[in-house]
This record gives sequence, C-alpha cells and structure tokens, in this order.
Amino acid sequence: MIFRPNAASGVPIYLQLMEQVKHAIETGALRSGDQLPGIRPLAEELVINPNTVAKAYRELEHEGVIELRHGAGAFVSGAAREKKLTDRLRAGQTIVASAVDKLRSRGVTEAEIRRLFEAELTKLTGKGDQRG
Amino acid sequence: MLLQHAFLETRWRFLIGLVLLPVSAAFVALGYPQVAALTQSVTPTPDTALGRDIAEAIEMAKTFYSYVWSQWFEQNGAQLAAFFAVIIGTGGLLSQSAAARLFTLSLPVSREQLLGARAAAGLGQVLALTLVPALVIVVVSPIVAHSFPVLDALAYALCAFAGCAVFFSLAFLFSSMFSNVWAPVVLTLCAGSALRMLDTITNGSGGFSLFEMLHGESYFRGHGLPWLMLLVSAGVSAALIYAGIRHMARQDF
Amino acid sequence: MADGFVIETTDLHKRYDGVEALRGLTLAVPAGSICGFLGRTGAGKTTTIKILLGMAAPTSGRAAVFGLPADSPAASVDIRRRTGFVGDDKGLYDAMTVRGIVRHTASFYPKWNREMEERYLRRFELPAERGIKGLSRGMRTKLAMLLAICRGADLLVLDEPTTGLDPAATEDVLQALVGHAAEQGTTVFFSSHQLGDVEQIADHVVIIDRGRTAVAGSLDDLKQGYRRIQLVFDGDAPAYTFQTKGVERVKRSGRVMTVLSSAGIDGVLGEARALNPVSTDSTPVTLKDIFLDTVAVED
Repeated sequence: MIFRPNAASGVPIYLQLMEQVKHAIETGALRSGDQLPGIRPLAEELVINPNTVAKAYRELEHEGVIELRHGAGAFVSGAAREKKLTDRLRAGQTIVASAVDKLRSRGVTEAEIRRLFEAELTKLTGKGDQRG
Repeated sequence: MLLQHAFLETRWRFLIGLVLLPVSAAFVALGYPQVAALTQSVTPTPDTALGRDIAEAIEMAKTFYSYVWSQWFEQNGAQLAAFFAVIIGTGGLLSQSAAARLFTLSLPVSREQLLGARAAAGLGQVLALTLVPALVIVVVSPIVAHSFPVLDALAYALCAFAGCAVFFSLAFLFSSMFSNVWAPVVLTLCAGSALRMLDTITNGSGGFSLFEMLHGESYFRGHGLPWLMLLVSAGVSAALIYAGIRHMARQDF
Repeated sequence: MADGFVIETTDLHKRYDGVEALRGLTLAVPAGSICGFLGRTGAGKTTTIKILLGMAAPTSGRAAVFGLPADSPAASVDIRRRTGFVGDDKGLYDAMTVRGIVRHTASFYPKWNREMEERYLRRFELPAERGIKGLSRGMRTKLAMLLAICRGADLLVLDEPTTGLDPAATEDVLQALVGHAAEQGTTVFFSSHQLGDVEQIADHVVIIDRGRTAVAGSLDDLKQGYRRIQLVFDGDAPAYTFQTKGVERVKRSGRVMTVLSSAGIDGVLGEARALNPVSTDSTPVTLKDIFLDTVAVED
C-alpha cells in the first residue's frame, strides 16, 4: 500500500485511506480474504497517526468492506460483499465518467469540474445526510 | 553517573592542573642542588627590601625541607592550587551552553543532587591537585639525594586542600549567581586579594589567617596542624556550598 | 497506559521579569495521543514545556504530568524519569561521541532499553564512534530522539523537533515518532511551526495565543467543524451579519463573500442560501487556515 496521504487536502486522512483500500480491491490488488497491513506497521509506513488507521479500518468494517478478526488482523471481506461493492462503484464510475465527458465537451475545465462536485456534495451535507 | 557527569564538566581544567602541578612540584624538588649552590655564592645587602627578601630566601634554602616548604607549599604550589580551585569552582548550569544545560536539567535528579555532585566532584579534583604534587615531591626527592617525609607532605596537602576548598566554594557560590563564567573567577580572586591584604594589615590576626593555614605555616613552625582553622574553613566551605545549592534550587530557567 | 490526561494545566500563569508569558493557560493532553502544540513565536510554548518539566516554576495555577504536580521538585524528578525531552538545542554534548552520550544517558535511566538502542542506531544510521560535533542537524535530532525514546518513557515532549530539517530527515523523525507511539502507547506532545507535520501525525491539537489556549481538541473534530464557504452574488455581496454561532470571519470583496466558520455549518448554509447567491462553493480548510484564523488577530 504505497501512497502518500495528503494531510492538507481537506479530505480527512482516514477517508483517503479508505478510498485507497477500496480502490485496491476494485483493481484486484487486494482480493477477498487477503490480509491488510497491521495498524501499527501501516501507520509507520505512511507516517500518519495510528488512530487514523484504526478509524479507517473501523469504518471499512462498518461498510462491510473488510473484517476485523480479533487478534488476527484485518482481512478483505468475502466475495459476495466485494462484488456488491465493486458493482456499486462500477455503476457510479460510469455515471461520473459520462458527466465529466459532458462537462468537458462544454469547455468546463478540470478544476471547475472538481469544484462543482465539491459544491454539490456540500449542498447535500447541508440539506442533511443523504448518503446513498 | 551524576558524579561522572559533574567530573566531565571540569575534566579539562582538572587534567591540565593534574599535569602542571605535579610537574612544577617535581621541578621545585629537583632544582634544589642548583639553588643551594647559587645561594652559597651570594651575599645579600640587608638594608634594602629586596636584600631582605633574598636573605630570607637564602635562609630558607639552607635545608631541603625548608626550601621545599617555602618554594612549593608556601608559594608556587599554594598559588597554583588556589587558582585551579577557583577555575574548577566556576561554571555550572548558569554558564553552560544551552544544549548542555538542557541535558542536565532534563535528568531525573533533583537540583540538590545535581549541585551536590558538582561540589563533590570539584572538591575531589581540588584534593587531587593538592595531594598528588605533595606525593610527587616525596617520590622525586631521593633523585637529588634528599628526602621529604611522607607524613609532612600529607599534612601540608591537607592544609592546602582546606584552604583551596574555601576558594572553590566561593567560586561555586558565585557561579550560582552569575551566568558569566568569568565573573565568579574575578570575584573570588578579588575576595582572595582582600583577605590577603587583611592578613598583612592584622599580621596574621592571631592564627586566624586563611593563607597561613593554606601554607601549613603552623605545621612548619612546629606547632602541629591548625585544627581550629581547619575546622573553621571546612565549616565555611560547607556553608558557601550550601548557599550555592539553595540559590540554584529555586532558579528559573 | 492508564486512561485520562497525561498533561493537564489549569489556569497557568507565568511571569518573567514583568513579562507575562502565560496568562491562564488551560489544556489537557489525552493519554496515548499525539498532540501538536502550536502558537506564534513568543506565545508561550517553550515556557509551558519548561514548567511541565520542572525547569521553571509557575507564578500561579496548576500543572500536572502523570497526575503529579509539576511544581513540586520531588514529583518533578519522577516526571522526568518517565519523560523523554527533545528541546531546541537537542541537549547534546559536542565533546562526546555518539556512543559516549548514549551510554552516559543510559546510566541515568534504569528502564533503558538496550535492544531499542541498537535498533534505532541502525535505523537512523548513526555512526557510533563519530563525535557529535561532526553530525548534521538531522542526525543530531535523530540522536536526541534516540536518547529520548530508549529510556522507556511514557511521554515524549519535543520542542520544534523538525525545524530546520530537510524533508527526508523530517520524514524519518515523524516516522520514528509515529512508530514508537504506536508500538509503546507513548503519549507525544510536540510544539511545532511546521503545520504540515502536525496535520500529518497529530490526533490532538492545542493552539496557544498570547499565553492562553485559543483552540484545543481532536484534530479531526476541528477540521470537520471548520468550513470555508464562498458565495458569489449577482450584484455586490450584501453586508450581512450571520446569526449562527461559530462564524469566525466574513470577508466581502466585490461580488464575493467568503465565510469561515468553526461550527454550525448547517445554520450558516441555511442563512447563506437565503441571501440568494448565484453560487455556493465550499473549500477545504487546512490546519494552516485554522491556525491563522485563531492567532493572526490584529494586535
């Protein structure tokens, strides 16, 4: 798991970490049943707070992406859950890809596109939780 | 560890003294034959101050014993030892570099322990600087076909140590008050000079002269060790060191 | 590691020669956390650390480490036995070798970990026989960290540990801190001007301003609470005073209004939308923004 979390990006590090894990599962770098790095070694490798890793793992477990086996470590969840996750993300990916295409064809720049998404997401949070 | 820590702080001053003093003492002893020969051929004129000094020196050179006492324990040795006692006594937390001070202050020891160790190590070094040269004299005297009694050497060393301890303690106290490393040296030397002057004015003030004790004058004159003065100077040194420790204990850094 | 707070101060005051360095500082550092201590130069960071370690006595107020009173000389010895400190000047003797100062320091701490010493000497690539004088700044910091870590301390206090270090050395130092904290459950309390470093490894933050606590709490909560919203209007941005509590700053420039809030984002957005802006934009807030907002008040 080699990536550099960006502490100043505004996205909490634990969220970035969760994204990385999900991305790894998506691309097949992590497969169902694979063991994730331990909290301490991962924190040390990424040079981030161990509590942040712990939080990311907890949230991933809550979403069903991974399983925390007491004393043994963190493992990628079973195939069924994985497939559901990947399907949902794939569908999402298609939607985003077409939206980005449309915007680009209208001459909207990459930075503007990013801001539009941010603003939209902020609006969602403002109206109250509408997480799907 | 603490003692080692304190010793490390003054080790260069101590080592230089540990080489300088014994070598000087050896030279004093070994130089006797030349001095004795020289004084044979000199007849001083006793009506000038210089003439009187020379006459006194010749008198002292009549025997090896009195020569050694006069040249080393009364003069050179006493001055050197007192000087080194002062420069070993100065230093400490206030004048140390920030890095050294930081290291020392973050140690899991109380201020009292820290300063107590510094005082103990310093006094130990001063003791060595008074004892070793005296013993060196005893050892090298046979080379020039003379001898100096071990017991006497020890007695003079004790007197010198007691006197130098006062100088050390004075510098130690001043170093707890000033962050300049030289201020305690200057102040102590000034205090020493003042005491000296007091001595010459009161002519020894009936045996209570610090310098007379330092020189072991009483022992030389056959009156035995100046026990009262030794005790008094021990008490004074202890009081000065205690005051220094108390002062540092409440210091903010 | 016991629950509770490893470091606690209550209304701490310190006066030096008529200068009030601390004016009622209150903070609490949870056990097992990595806490960043931020503040402008002269705000009182070093003074606070000195008081915690018994190097200076408070004028009034309470300071406790491990529940022990920091201003009691006897308790302070215990505190220092369980604390590793890396200060500004690193506390290194120029005249010694690396091995020399390690062995010398080890002699003061009965809980010294010999195995850890070897491990960190290798990890930091510190030449055991080299004189300290010849070490680079980064290596001096790493050596100072080794001395602090290997004594089996429950708390590490560092005063600007990465200031002046190149990025590689900085990463080494942060990595060692994080690794050690995770492994031993050690609490880390470090003051820093490098906000990026704090943002990266700290889970708690205390910002001190002019001798008082300006902000304190979990870094995640802080960043979650802080938002910057940019509103663009058709005409000039209206002069509006927000009712929602938590609005820190409102800046108007032509058609743009920028709002910085530390809490109550929902309320702020509600009020903002009522002003009918053409667009609502949200930008992430970094620790630097929070810091500058908290302490950069006009004097």
